[in-house]
Amino acid sequence: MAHTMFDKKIYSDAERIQRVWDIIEIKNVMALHIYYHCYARQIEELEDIWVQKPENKKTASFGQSRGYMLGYDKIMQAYGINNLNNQKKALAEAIANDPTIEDCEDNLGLGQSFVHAITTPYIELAGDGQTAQGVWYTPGHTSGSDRHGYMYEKYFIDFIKEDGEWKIWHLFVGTDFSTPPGEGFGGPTELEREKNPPPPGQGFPGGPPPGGGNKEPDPYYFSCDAYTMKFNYCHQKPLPKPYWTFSETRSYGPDGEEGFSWDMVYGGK
Amino acid sequence: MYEHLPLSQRIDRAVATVECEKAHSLHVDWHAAGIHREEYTDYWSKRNDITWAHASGQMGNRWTYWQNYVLGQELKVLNNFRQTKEIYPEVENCPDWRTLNEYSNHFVTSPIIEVAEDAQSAQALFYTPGYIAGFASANGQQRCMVLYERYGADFVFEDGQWLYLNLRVCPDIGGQIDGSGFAEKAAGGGGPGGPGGAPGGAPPAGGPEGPGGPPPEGGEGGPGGEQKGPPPQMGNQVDISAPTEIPGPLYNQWSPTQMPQQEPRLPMPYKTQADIRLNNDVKTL
Amino acid sequence: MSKQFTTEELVGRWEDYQEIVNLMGRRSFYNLWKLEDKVWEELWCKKAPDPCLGFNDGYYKGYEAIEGWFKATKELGLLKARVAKKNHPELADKTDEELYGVGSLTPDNLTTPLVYIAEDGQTAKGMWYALAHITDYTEAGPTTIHQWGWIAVDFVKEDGAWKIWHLLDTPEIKHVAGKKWYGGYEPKPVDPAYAEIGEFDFPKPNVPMKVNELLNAKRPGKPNPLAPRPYDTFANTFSYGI
Repeated sequence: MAHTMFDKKIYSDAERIQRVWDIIEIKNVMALHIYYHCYARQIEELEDIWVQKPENKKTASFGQSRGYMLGYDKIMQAYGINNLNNQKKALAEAIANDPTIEDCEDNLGLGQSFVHAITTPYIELAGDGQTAQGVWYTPGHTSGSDRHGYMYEKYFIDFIKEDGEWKIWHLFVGTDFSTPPGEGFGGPTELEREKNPPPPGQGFPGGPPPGGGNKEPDPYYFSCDAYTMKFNYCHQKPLPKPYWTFSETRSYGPDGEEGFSWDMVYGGK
Repeated sequence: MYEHLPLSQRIDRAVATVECEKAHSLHVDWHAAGIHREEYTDYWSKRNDITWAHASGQMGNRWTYWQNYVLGQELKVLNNFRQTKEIYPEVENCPDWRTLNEYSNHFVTSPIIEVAEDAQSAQALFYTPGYIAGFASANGQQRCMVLYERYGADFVFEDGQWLYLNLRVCPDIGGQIDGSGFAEKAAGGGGPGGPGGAPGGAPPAGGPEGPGGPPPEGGEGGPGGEQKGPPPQMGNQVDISAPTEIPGPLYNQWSPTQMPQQEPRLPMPYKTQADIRLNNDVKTL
Repeated sequence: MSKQFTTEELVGRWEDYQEIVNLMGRRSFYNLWKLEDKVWEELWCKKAPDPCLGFNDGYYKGYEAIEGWFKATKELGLLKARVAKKNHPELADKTDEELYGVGSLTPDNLTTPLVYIAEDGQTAKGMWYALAHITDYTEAGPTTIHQWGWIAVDFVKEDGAWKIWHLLDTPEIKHVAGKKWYGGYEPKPVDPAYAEIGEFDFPKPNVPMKVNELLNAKRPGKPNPLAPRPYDTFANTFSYGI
C-alpha cells in the first residue's frame, strides 16, 4: 500500500510538520461545522468555513442520500436562509403561545439542537497540499419540541485551501438510520419492503428511510441515489485513496457521481 | 518535553500519530465493510507474533488471525450472501459480496495515542459506543444493537509504514439502539423494550461480536473455544475457526458486582517499546 | 492567527496539541476506571489563579471548592459501594474502599475535538461533544443514564506540562436510557433498597448560577458554550471559568 502523505523522499521536515498541521486544521474546521449546525447558525457557518473564492463557490455542493445542492448560492438559500426563515417562524409561533419569550436573535433556534458529533476521522491530504478528503462517522441526535431521536450518519468531505485557510468545498452526509428513543428498532428491511410492500397507509417501522431531496425540477439540484444502507456497506462511498492533485481523485461532490458534470449546470461557462 | 530529541525525530512522532489514528479509522471502516483480507495484508505487521484479543480469547499469531478473521469470516459471509441472494436476487449486483454482511460499526471516541520517543512504535487507546446492525439480512428483518467496548492497539513502524502489531477489544455492555437495555437488562431486570425489537439483546457474557463470540445470524465468527473433534456443521455453514492461543474469558462485561477493570493499558509517554506493557499481555481470568 | 511559526515552533505546538488531546483521553479513562483522584492530582492545575469546574447550575471556583467536589465524589462512591454490599451478599467480605467503583461504567465518549493553542503557547482552549454513558448505582438501583453535551476547557502550561484550568461540563440532554429526553430529566422511581444514594448531600457550587440548561422548548438558541477560536494570548480571549 502506498503512503504518500508524509513521504520523506518528497517532503522536507518543514513540509511534513506543516502537513500535520493541515490535518489538525481540517479537524477544527469540521468541528466548527458541527458546532454551527448544533445551534442552527448555518449562515455564519457558510460565511466562516465554506469556500469563498468565486471559482470554488460555483462548484461547492451539499449532498445527502438522494442528491446534491449545487453551488454556494443554492446552499446558502436552502441550508442558510431557508433555515433562518424557519427559525424566525418558529420563534414567532413560540412567542404567540408564550409572550414572555423575547423576540431576539439569541432565541433563534429556540429549544432545538441538531448535533452530528464526529468520530473516527480518516483524512487524506493531497500530495500538492491544496485539497484534502475526509470521512467521519457521526452518532448524533436531532432534538426539537415536535420530535427528537438518534441519528447515525457518515460524512464525506472535500476540503480546499484558500489563502492558507482550509474550507469546506463539497460536503456529503449519508444517513444510515434514525430512530426515536424507547420505541424499539426493527421491522422489515428495505429489500423486504420492496419485495412485499406494506398495505397502503401503513408506515415503515424502525425509523424512516433516508429521505430528503428536491422533488421539483431545479437546475441547482442533482437527484441521484447517492447513498443507501439497503445493501449494508455495499454501495457506500469508498474511503479516499492517496492522490497528488484533486483531478486524480473521486470527488465527494456531484462530479463523483455517474451522469453528472458541472457543464450541465453552467453550460461550460 | 521532547526538546532533547532531534527535530526530524519529533516530526516522525507527529506523523506517526496521524498515521496510527488513520489506520485505526480504516480498521473501523473496513471491519464494518467486512473487508478483512486487505486489512490483514496492508495494515498489519508481517511479524508472526501479531495478536488480536477479545474477551473470548486471543488469536496469538498470524496464522490463527488469518484462519479466523479472514478465511473463517469470508466463509461465513459467503454463506450469508448465498442465503440472502436466494431471497433477494438483486443483491447479486453488489460489487463486493463481503460488504453485504452485517454492518458492525465500532466508531471510536476519547482517543489517546502515544508514540515512543524513538518513533518506532506507538500505543493507542479508544472507546467505542458502536453498534452491530443488519439492513440486508436473509430473514428480511433489520436489527441494530449497541455494544460499548474499549480498543487497545500497539503499532510498529515497519518498512516505512505504521502497522498494527496487537489489537485488544474489551467489551463492556450492550443495549438497544433505541437506548433501552443496558443496566436494566444486564442486571437481570426486565428492561424497557420496544415493539419489533431485534433478535438478541445485550450480548452474552464472554463472547460478543467482534473477532470472537457467537455471531448473530450470518455474522462473522472469530476465535472459537477449544475444538474437540471435527468442526460442527451449523446448518449449511462449516465452522473453520482455529482455537485461540489464550482462551477466554480475558475480560468481564459489566454487572452490578463488577469492579472497574483498568484494561487495556493506559498509554503514557515512553522511550521505546521494550519499556512498556503491550496489548498482547493478557491472561485467562 | 497572523503569527508565522518556525518549523521548530510548529513541532512544539503539535506536541502541545497532542498532549492536550491525550490529557482529555486520560481524563476519560481515569473517570471510567474510577480513578478520580488521579484526575485531580495529575490533570488539574495547581498554580494558576481561580481554577473553575462548571456545570449547568454553577461553578466550583478555586482550589478548595474543586478539591471539595472531588472529595464528595469519592464519598458518594464509597456510599454506593456500601449500598451495593447491602444488596449483594456476595460482596460482604470486602471493604468499602475495596469495592469503590463496583457496578460503575461511565465512558464519556469525547467526540468533535476543536482545539487551539494560543500563539504565546501558554494557554489553550478546547471543546468536545461528550456522548456520556453513565451506568451506575443510583437511588433507583443500577441505572443507565445518557448525558450529552459540550465540554469546554481552558488549559494552562505549568512547569512544562499542560493542565486543566477551567472546565465546563454542560449537558443539554440527560435521560434514563431508552426514555424520551426532551424537556428535562425524569429519574426512575426510587427503590427503597438504594434510596440512601439519593439522600447524599453533595456540596453545591460555591458560585451558583444558571450556566446552561437541559433542552426544553424555551432554551435559548444562542450558542452556549462559545466555540474557541484562534487567539494570541489569554487576556485577549474569553474564559470558560468565571
